[in-house]
Parts: sequence; structure tokens; C-alpha cells
Amino acid sequence: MESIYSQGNISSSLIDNAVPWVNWSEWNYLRRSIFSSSPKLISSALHKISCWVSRDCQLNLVELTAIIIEIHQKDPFFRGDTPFGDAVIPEKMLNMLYCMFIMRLVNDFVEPEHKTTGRSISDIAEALGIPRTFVDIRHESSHRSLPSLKLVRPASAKALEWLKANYWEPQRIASCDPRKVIKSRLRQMILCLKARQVSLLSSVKNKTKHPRRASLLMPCRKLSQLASKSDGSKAHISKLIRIAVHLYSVHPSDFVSVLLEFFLAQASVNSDHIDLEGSDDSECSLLKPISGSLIGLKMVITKLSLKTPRLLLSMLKAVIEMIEEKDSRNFENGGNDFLYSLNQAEVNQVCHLRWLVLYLIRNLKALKESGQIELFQENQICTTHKMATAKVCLTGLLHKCLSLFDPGDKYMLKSALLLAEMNENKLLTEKLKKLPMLAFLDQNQIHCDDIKYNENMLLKEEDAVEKAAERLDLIKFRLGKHKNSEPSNSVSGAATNLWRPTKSWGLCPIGMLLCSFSSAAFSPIFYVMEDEKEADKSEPSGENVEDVHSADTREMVCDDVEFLGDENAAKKLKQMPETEGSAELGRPFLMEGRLLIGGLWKKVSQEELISLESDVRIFV
Amino acid sequence: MELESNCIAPASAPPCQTPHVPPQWADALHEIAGGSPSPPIVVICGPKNSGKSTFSRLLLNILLQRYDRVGYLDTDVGQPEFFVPGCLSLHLIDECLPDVMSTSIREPERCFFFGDISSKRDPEAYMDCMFRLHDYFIKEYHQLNDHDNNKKSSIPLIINTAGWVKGTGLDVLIELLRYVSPTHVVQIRISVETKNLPTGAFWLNDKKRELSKLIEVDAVFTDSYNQSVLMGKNASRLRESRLLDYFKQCFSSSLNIKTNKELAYALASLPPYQVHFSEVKVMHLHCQVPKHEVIYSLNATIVGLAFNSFGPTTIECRPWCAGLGIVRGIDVKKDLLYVLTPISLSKLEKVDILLQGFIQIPTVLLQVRGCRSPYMAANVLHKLPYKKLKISPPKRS
Repeated sequence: MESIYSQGNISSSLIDNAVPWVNWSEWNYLRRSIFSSSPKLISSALHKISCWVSRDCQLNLVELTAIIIEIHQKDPFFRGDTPFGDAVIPEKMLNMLYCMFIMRLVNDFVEPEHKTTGRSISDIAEALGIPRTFVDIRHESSHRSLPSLKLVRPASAKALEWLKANYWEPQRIASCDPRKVIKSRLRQMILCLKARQVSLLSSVKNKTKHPRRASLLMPCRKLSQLASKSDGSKAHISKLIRIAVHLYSVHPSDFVSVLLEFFLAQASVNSDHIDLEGSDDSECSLLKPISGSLIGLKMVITKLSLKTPRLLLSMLKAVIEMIEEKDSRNFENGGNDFLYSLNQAEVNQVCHLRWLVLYLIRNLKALKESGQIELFQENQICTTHKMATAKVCLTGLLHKCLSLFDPGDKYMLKSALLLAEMNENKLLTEKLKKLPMLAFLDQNQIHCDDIKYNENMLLKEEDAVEKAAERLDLIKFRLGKHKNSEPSNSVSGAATNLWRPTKSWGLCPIGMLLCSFSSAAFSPIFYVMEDEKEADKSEPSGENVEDVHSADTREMVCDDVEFLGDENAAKKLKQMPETEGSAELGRPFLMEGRLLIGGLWKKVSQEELISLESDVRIFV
Repeated sequence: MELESNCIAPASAPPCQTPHVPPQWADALHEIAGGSPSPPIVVICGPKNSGKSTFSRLLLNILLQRYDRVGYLDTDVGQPEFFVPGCLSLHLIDECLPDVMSTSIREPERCFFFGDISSKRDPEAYMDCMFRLHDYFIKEYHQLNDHDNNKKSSIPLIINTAGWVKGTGLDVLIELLRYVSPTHVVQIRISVETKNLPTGAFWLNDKKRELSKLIEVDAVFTDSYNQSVLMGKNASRLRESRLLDYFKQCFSSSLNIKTNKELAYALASLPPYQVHFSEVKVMHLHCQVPKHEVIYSLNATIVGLAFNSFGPTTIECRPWCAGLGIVRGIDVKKDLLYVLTPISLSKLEKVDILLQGFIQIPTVLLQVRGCRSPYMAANVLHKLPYKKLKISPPKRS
């Protein structure tokens, strides 16, 4: 069987090693930072490496790179400026540092081999491709007098190049981006499934005599040609599915985000032609949106979720988070320019995502009926023997859907209704059925009366502003309270229950977290800490709002955008947050004193809060 | 002289499996066990794989015939006797060891999390841990006041040491011997003379009156020698299996977890304990980690769960340790740490410090099928691309 990763000529082993990074994009981000020209990025990269080293995963090459770059940062020769204040290191010391570094570099790689085989150091170094200069410097500095700075300084630059050529570059190539692999595999799969669909359709076509459908089938010719190329046979498809399932199990978050990317791209292309609602009647939907690959994507999701029901849950989580993020961002934008600023494309996207939620929940229902997904109640302790089955907490999910419910949005409501049905809660179903009456009444009014609509909007906005003011108050309150209570807390807090057993849990890889409403695991994002770093460096508290903004554009744009142009890095910086209401904001410590600004949790000082608050008052 | 006959303890106890004990060892054991009227304090030292542990276990069994309980201070952080790697622990043993060749995990009376498998990174802190465990034992179990005498009797102590007997290792050992001033010092000597400790009372620098009885014995070169050679090679695997055994205690034995894979699977699905991140202090024992990177460095690692009972803690002055835990997840938004640990909730209650050292989580725990940890990656280049070296036989100089 061909390797899953067989992209280009890199064939990779599937032997896993423990690493301190969560994914290769973290590694890549570090690689770019440490070799960048910005002292800020370099020092953050050095910090990151010291964290990696604390996890002890045998990172000789990374550690050595960090050491040499740290020395270079201290050497005016490499810094290219006159060092200021405490940064001055006497040349003698620099000399020692360089020699020590080169000794370590050589010994780290040569010593093990030397011990076991007893061959001479220079022989082994040659076999390893370590330049002779380094070996000589090692020899001189350990057995004779210290080589001069004039000699070791250029050697250290050479060593850095050598490390780049022998570790960073090969590793970059070897760690091929899983997203690329996933993308190409998914494309293949979509194509294949569509091809199969076409052959199915042509048989349907023979039976039906509907004239409209014939025209719809026109593009199918092309597809069937493609199909013959890409071999839409059943065996081929099942092989593709197997590979995709494996890819999902290894890179769950990448897989889901690629799927979502595909979906959004397809949906936006096809949004004019496709009535997304077509899926209401599944038989009909088979025939409708052939023009795009949305149908293929839908089939991919269905097929894969049959194999790994967990995929559905991961997707649900990702979609809901994305909607939450976009909503919050829209809300922010709306704050600046109330009526007209809502970007239409963005609105459409959110609409598509909402439709996707409904679609996923439909699938979920089907899987639940076939017993592949189980239900669980909040705070229910799972029995150990059923850990592996995917589970979903209906009330939790329902809660999410309702919190995302927006008057006039039929998809979320339908999702909620479906969930209520699954829950067999008749009372809830009845209540939910009544809910849209209000919303649709509103909608009717919108069409007939623009002024009323505006009034309505204004009312809503006022409401939102009030809510925001409340939240601000809450944050302020917590901020003050925490400051006051801190000393007493540490004394009395010891007696109270620090530790509690977690109530509900399921199978979840170590290092990951479980989604709040299902047994889908996800990699945690420590973006708050990312932010903390920024706060640590900049001047404490006294800065005003503008400073916060500028600080963050600095952080966001970074020094070399082209460098970071790669979508992964951009994603990493963007860091999807999630609004979960004031209850979340109320937590002490990490989230304390933070506001969601432009989709990012920003640290906000007391003064900023007050100034923000006064702004709010003006609106109200 | 055969030792088996001595080891046949009360009928209720399981029969003790004792390997062939050479006469020299048997004499030494009897001299310690039966020599003095007061309970002995014995330090056992010698180079790596010389049989210190085996000797200490034999001694333990013999002392248990005379005393109800025996104290056991384990200072070998690399290959501990009854507890997990990275810890110095004090145990009170009240039952004869059924198997002298291997031991299982026991709950310590007191322990410190040193956080590394050798004392070389921080000998000062290591010695401090040793001394404080010793002091604790002496205060609580050995040196009894008159009014305490009625309740409990003084008990003997065995101190097992690490096999690092050169350079700093020797210095540490000398400090220990001077501090403890034991009644007996057992030195095990191997045939390679250069690897041995100095002969005589090497820890005394002047001709002071020697209080300790020095016993020198030769290492056993029978089957236990072969085994110890084997142990030396698989030290890291032994450590890993120790850790796995420790975390197996999270589950009742009725679950019947046999393989490591089953254990990894069970641990991945076990509901963890949760604690607010802001309520615990995190200390890195052997390296500095910037504040904002602490969360990154903690996730999916093994930590020592410690509690503070005396004033401010520093890295030099370790807090008492309640046991080990795996930080299995961190939820920044909820400010929660999720920790897997076999220690009971009542003990956990006190824990307010997490110590991170260099005790690595066994990779098998990160590799559950269909549930792989993000901290595992394929295609990792650890080493340089070796051009195949033709391995020639080592030249003997």
C-alpha cells in the first residue's frame, strides 16, 4: 500500500517520538522566529526553547541553536550595534562562550559513537559531516590554549549555518505539513465520490423523464471522464476513506479545519445557485447541487462520520466555535459603524456555517439512531468499558445552539428542534416551536417597514450595549475583588477544596481537552498566555487604550509578514477565541481583566476599563 | 551458612524467596541484626550494580524478625526501591519482603520530589532532602523521649545510597555519612578495584574516634550479578515501568489491567482531578522557564504534587511531596488543571505546589491507539544523518 504521506519524494516513517511542540506549525513558527532579524521574535523564540527544554525530549540540536543565537545576541559583532548597559560582555568571556559552544556541538554528536566504537574523533566527525574546523577548535580549547576570538567568532557563524543545513532545513522538509496531505487526500476523495455519484445519477436519469434535470446533468460528462481517470471504484473509495480516517486520527484539528475551509470555499462559490435547504429532502438534494463539490463534501462528511463518529463531534465543535468567533467579531465591527458595516460576505459565511450545524446535527441524529453515538447527561460519570464510543451531551449542545440563535435564523432553530426531538423532550419541543413566531413576526415587519426595522435594530443594539456595560461592571468588580481578597485567599483558601474529581470525562488523549458538549477531544489553545507575554514586556498598567491597540497590531503583523504569510502561522496568531458569557469572564486569574476585542482576549487595565465604560454611557 | 532457615518467618507470611547468600554476606547481616542492643542505623554503599539493594532487602527481612517495623530511607533517585524515580523516600516496612530480587511500589511515610534521576544537577538540594528525611525519622521513630517510650519503641533504619561513588557522588556520600553517623556502614566492593570506594573510614578526615562499625563485603558474582548487569542496561526502561506501576494504582486491581497499552488506554479515559491553576504554585526544579511559558511546559508532563508545611519553599528547600501526577490537560479559559494521580483525595487536599523536574512521561501513555497525544510526532530528526560508519572493532590502547 502506498504511504499516506507519499507527497513528492519524502517517504516518512510512522515511528512516533515524544516532542515538546503540539504540532509542526508551532515548530515552524519557532524556526521562523529564531532565524528572523527581529530581536523581539528571537527572544520569544529563545523563551519558547527554554520551555521545550524543560520538557526534556532530547533536543540537542534545538538547544545548541538556542545557545549560539543567545551568544550572538550578546555579541556586538553580530548585533551590529553598540551594546547598551548590562549587555556588554568582555571579549574574553565571549571567547570562552564560543569555545564551549563548539566543544559541546562536537562532543554531543561524536562522543556516543566514540565511546562505542573507539574510533578517533576526527574520523567520526568526518563521517557525520562536522567541519574539521570545529574539531580543531574543540581539541585546542580542551587540550591547549584557548583559540582566539578572531577564529571562533566566524566559526560560530559557520556552526549556525551548519545547524540550519543539518537540522532545521531537513526537519522542515521531513515534517511535511499535514494540512497539505489532508487537502490533497480530501480533494481526491471528493472527486471520486462525485464520480460515483455521476454514475449513479445516470442510471437515475434513465428512469426519470424530468426535463429540467437533464440540463443539470450536463456537467456530468466531464465528471465521468474524470471519474474514469481517478477510478471511482468502490475499492478505491474505501481505501481513500481508510486513509482519511487515519489522517483524522493523527491530526484531528488540522483535518477538521481543512474540511471547514473546503466547506466555506465551496459554499461561497455556490451560494447563488444552491439552496442550502435542499438537504431538507435528502432524495431531492442528491440531484440538486451538482455544480459544486458541496455535494461531494457532504458525502465525504457522511461517509467519514460513519467510520469515525467522533469526526462529526469535532466538526460540530469547530463550527460552533467559528460562528461564535465571527459573531463576536461582527459585534465588534458593529460597534464602530452600526448599520452598514456588517460585511455581506461575512454574513453569508455565518449563514452557511449555521446551515452546516443543522446538517451535522442531522447526521448526528442518524448516527445516534444507528447506535454509533451515545448520549450522556451532564455530570454523568461514564462507565469505563464504554469509553471509546463517541458521546454527545444533548443539553449542552442544545444550550449552544440556543445561545447562537439569532432571530430570523432558521437553521439554528431547526437544529435545536432536532436536538429536542432526539432528547424526547416534548415540552421543550413545544416551547421551541413557539420561539420562532416572534422572530418571524419581526422578519415580516422588516420587509414591510424599514423604519420599524431600524427601530428594531436600535433597540437590539441598545440591549447589546447594556449587556456589554454589565459585563464591564462585572470584570471591574472581579478585578477589584481579586486584588482585595488576594492575601486573605491564600490563607483561608488552603482549607477549602482545592481539588475535585472531574465529574464527566471520556476517552481523551493526554495533553488534550474534552469539548464541553461531546466526547470530542481538542488541542488546548493557550493564547491567553501568548498575550501575557506581551503584557510582561510592555510597560506595566499605565498605558491607555491606544497603546493596547498598537501593541497588538505590532504583535499581529509581526516584523516580517511575508515570512508569516503562511496560513498556519497566521492562524496561530489569530487564535480562535470563544465567548461563553459572563460566567466565563468571572473566573479569576487568567481571564480576569480581559475583554474580547476584535476576536482576541486583551488584557485591560483599570483605567482603560473606566474609559471604555464612559464611552458606553455615551451610547446609552 | 545458609540464610533460608532464618527467613522462614511466621507461618502466616508468604514464604520468602531467598537466593543463595554467600557466607560473607550472611555474617555481615547477622552482625548488624544481632550485634547491638539498640536498633542499628545502617548505611549501605558501593558502586553501581554491586548489590546494594539486594543486601538492603536481605537486611530488612532479617531485622523484621526482631523488630515490628524497620525504617528504610531510599536515596537512590535513579533506581528507587519502593517508590518512583526522582523521589527520595522514607518507608516504614512491617512485613517481610516476599521476593528479595524485586520490589513493588509502596506508599512512603514521607518523601521529597527531587525531580531528576541523578543527584548531579543539584547536589545541595539532594543532600538537604536526605538530611531532612533522616531528621524526620530520628525525631519520630528513633530518638524517643521517656514519656513516648510506653507507646512505641525505637526502630532501626536502613539507608540505601546511589551507586555514584566518584567525584561529587563521593562528596555527597561523605556528607551523608558525617551527618548521619550510622552505627554500621556496609561497603560492597566489586572486583574492579578502581571503581570502588576508598577502603576504611573514608568519610572521617582526621583520626577521630570512630563510632561506626565498618563492614566491607564483596559483591556477589552469581546469578544476581548477571541480573544486575542486565538492570544497568535497561535502567531507563525500568524507570518507565516503575512509573507505569505507580499510575496503575489509579485503578483497582479488579480491573485487571495487564499490558501497558491497556493501562495507557485506561488512563486516557480516567476522569482526572481538577484544580484551579491560580490556586497552585508551579516550581521548575532544574531549569528556568519564563512565566508565560509555564502552561506550555506543564501540559502532558509528570509533576511532583507537593504541599507546604513549613514556611516559604524554595528550590533548595523542597516541600514534602504527596506523590506524582500527570498534568493531562489545561483549560486556560476555565482556569483548570486536570491531573491524574493515584493519591487519595484526602491527601490531595493539601497539595498546593506542582514541582516539575526531568521525570519524563512514558511515551506509551501518549500513544493510545486512535487517541494519540499531540505531543507525539512522526518524522522527528533527533540525530544527525549518520553516514553509515563502518564499525571497526575498538582499538585497545
